[in-house]
Amino acid sequence: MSGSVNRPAFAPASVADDLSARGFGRATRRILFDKWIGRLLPLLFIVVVFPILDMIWWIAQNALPTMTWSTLTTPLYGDVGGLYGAILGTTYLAGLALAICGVLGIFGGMYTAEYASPRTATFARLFGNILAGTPAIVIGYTGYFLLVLYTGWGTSIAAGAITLSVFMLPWVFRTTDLAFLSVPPTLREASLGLGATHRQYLFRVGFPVAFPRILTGIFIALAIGVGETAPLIFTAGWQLAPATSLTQGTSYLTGLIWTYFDEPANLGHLLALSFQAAFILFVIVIGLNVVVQIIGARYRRRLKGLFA
Amino acid sequence: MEVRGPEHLLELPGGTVPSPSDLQVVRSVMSGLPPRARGMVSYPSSSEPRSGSVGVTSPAPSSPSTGAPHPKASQPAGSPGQGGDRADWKCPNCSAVLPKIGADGYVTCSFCHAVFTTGQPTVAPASALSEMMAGELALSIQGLSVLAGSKALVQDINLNVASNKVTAIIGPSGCGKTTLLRALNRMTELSGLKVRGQVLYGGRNIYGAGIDAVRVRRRIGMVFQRPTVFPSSIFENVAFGLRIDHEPEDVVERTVITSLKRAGIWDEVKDELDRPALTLSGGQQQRLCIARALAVSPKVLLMDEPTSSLDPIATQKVEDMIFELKQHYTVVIVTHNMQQAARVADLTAFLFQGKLVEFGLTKQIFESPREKLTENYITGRFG
Amino acid sequence: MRNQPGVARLSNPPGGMSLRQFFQWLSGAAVAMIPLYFIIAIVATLVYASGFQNFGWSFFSTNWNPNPNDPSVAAYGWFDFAVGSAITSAIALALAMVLSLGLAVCIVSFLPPFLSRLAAPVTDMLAGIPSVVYGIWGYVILAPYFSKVIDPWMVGTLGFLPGFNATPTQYAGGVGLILAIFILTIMVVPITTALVRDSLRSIPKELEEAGLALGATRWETMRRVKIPFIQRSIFSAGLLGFGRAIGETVAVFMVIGNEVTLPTSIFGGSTTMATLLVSQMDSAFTYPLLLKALVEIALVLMVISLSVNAIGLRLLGRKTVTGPGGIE
Ligand SMILES: Nc1ncnc2c1ncn2[C@@H]1O[C@H](COP(=O)(O)OP(=O)(O)OP(=O)(O)O)[C@@H](O)[C@H]1O
Ligand SMILES: [Mg+2]
Repeated sequence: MSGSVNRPAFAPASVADDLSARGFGRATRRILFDKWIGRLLPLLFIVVVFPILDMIWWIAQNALPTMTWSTLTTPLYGDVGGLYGAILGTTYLAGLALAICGVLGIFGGMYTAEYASPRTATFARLFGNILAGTPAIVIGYTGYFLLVLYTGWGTSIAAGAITLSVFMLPWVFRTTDLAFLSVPPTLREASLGLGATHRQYLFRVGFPVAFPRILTGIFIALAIGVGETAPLIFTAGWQLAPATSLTQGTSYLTGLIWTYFDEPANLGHLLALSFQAAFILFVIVIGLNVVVQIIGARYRRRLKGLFA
Repeated sequence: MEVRGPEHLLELPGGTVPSPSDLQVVRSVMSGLPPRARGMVSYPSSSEPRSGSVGVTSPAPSSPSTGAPHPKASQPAGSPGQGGDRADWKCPNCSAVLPKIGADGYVTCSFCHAVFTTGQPTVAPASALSEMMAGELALSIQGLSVLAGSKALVQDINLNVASNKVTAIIGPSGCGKTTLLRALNRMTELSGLKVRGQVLYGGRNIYGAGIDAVRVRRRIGMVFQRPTVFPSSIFENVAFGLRIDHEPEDVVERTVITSLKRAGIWDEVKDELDRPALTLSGGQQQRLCIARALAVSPKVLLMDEPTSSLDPIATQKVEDMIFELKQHYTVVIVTHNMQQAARVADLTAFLFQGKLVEFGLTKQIFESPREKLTENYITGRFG
Repeated sequence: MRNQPGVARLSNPPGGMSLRQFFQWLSGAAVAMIPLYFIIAIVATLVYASGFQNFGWSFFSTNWNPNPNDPSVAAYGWFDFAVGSAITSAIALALAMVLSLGLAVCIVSFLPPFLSRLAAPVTDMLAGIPSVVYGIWGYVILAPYFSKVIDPWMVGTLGFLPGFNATPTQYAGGVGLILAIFILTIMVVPITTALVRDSLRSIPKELEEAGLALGATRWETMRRVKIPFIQRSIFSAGLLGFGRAIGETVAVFMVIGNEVTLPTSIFGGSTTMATLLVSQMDSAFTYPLLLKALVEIALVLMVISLSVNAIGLRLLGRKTVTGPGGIE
């Protein structure tokens, strides 16, 4: 091994240098353990998703065979008829509630993100989140006393919608807040640096950029409003005939299930209606959530474009 | 004199199944003694070429029966057996046949370490360089490309990393230094990047089949640009790698102490090992991270701008420490700071737009660069 | 930081009212505090509606005897229902936490990227399914299945444990604590999964890479670096999940059996505080004292959920909780 050319050699290797995963030893055990964790953990998805799929299957099974177009267009009368009144009632309740909590929530969220002092903002977020975690039945009780009894309105769409809006508000509030927070600071500084007033920034730049995300908040709130039962049980009343005024009580999809789910078997039609209502609810809510996810994904892509 | 074909690089060290006495050696590796003093098992150079056996594509056809013959004798460049247009490169300095991996460009001979440009077979013999590279190799990077989608962040790198030397990688911002460094211990796969080519460590491709990244990273450690201490005590930070191996307490203790000493932070923390590591200063945190990397007894330490977030005094300390580390480890350091490269590195590689432009002795790179690009960068004309 | 005073100064054009002043005019203190106003309104209304009725110490007991004919023996102790709430929520939460820790860890570290991008929205979506839908599925489909298959099987295998024994008549209807726990678990999992997952994602990437660069496996990095890093957030996810479980009314009402007693077995019917508020309301319309008792129990529930949520949110240590649709 002499001469003008040096022979290259790799640094002497010890057994510990054996890079292959075969053989014995701790490293092998660790790597194998990791591999098996990686294989077994995804099985948890089956544990969680299987019951849900089972639920969807059974609800569809019980709802679809007897569902026709007239189910959606005829009101319920006694134990015959369809879901028209309930669909109408849900539309009124959720629509009105969304109008209320939309206005309050968007202004509140915008203020929190853009104007409030850090201290105020922290507290506003905390209270928003606490309200989101308040049991719906407690809100329902409050609505019953405050709006049904003390105002003298009686059970009515108005009382139900306002109560419902309290439950929906935190979601609009929170997403609006997050939406304005996620506007790239560079964009904000750029427009303010160009001499725009804060108001001009907010409406010309901030709001358009944040809008898709605010929309997701609205849709989430809508999904919650459509699917919630507890705030309405004692406030929205129950009237089978399609509602014609906000002072009347109404039937609504969740209330229909709530009312008829344990009907004796001889009223099978009502049980079928309950399942149909559940199916419709399910479709609406999942549909809204899918829309939310799509908007969210597109929004993120757009933001990425803004940054690049 | 015997020169062998490149398949020599692919040789496996000895048998693959460790015997009990070998495991004993592993244990002593953990004991924190200097690796040289531990009587590491060194394998006799096997005469049996094991081409194609470890997921490494053997670049040159090798004769299976005898020991690898002289490349001139049996493997003329562009051996017809290979088929197609695939020809091997021939080193103009020592006439060794090199595997043709990747496109034309700058190639470092794996045997004499001459740097030559394919197509222009007259490049400096680089005798001082071969002197420096005469010892063992820690890593041999062959035709390495790193791809993000179809975009190559790093392209066709051929580079040898000498054992127990400090190799610096310099180059303008965004040229792929970090990417190259991360490819050396398979951190690239965490950010979804694709790697082509080979990185040979101990003669084996770290990207080969059956090689687990976890083992690679145990041998090839990494220190990041910003200190990344775990939110636990100083002691537990350094002990991290040993704890996951369930080392006995006394081994852990000894190794932690040795590592802290080698990282040059022992004197500052020896009385408060239970202190939360996050309360240390930035410079101390960075040295703690180095100690933590040393505790798993790597052979190679990759450092990505380890001092860029530190003040001059802390930088000085880290640089001193790197100088000491050479005794026991091979260091590859990425730096933006040319003075730093000149101070700490034995060898320097200049990277530009993902390609290796020049590699040589630090002194030579800084005083008489062969390439115009290198000169421009060194003299600050860009970057 | 977003709310710099310097920025606000920019919004004062000469003349006219700035939007800032508009907001101040609109709200006095801040529209931002609307949720607080609502919380205050809820508590105030309930306190007022309770008529400050004093039920004495028997209110804090297991003695529930809403005897309308003889008010002198009437007692409104709600501890039985607190136990019902505690059992259902605690067991459901324990199961849900195990599941959601596993799911979150899996989504963040073990699934290939495209599956992980898919799994997150899917689990989020499950959080949106209305509770009546769970309820009707539980009552109509699951209850018979539980009474015929699950309950006998569990009594057979776990019957030796206290609380797991039951006679067939006890679980004849299939509704009961065990079904309520099952439904609650499925309902809480998406929420806690989202919270844990977002916490795991908020860990600096460098910290994870540091662990992996030391030759730790994904699992070891998770266990020894990431999980310790978000311990508090995990605890707070548990608290927030608990708040949800204890307040859930409709679905639990539909499957728990609504027996106004403490069951001797996990297969028997029971009542939680939240379902009591619904199941007793029809009688309460006629008996004012019972109504007041229910209102006070609602207040207790409000206080519990308020404190659980407040503590949970404080511990979470993030400014905002991302919800379903969880963006970033
Ligand atoms: N995961 C990735 N996907 C796509 N492109 C990437 C990725 N990581 C890095 N890049 C791009 O690769 C190029 C090289 O990046 P790299 O971080 O290696 O440069 P660098 O030489 O370390 O720069 P600096 O000196 O600033 O640290 C950059 O243009 C960067 O944008
Ligand atoms: Mg870099």
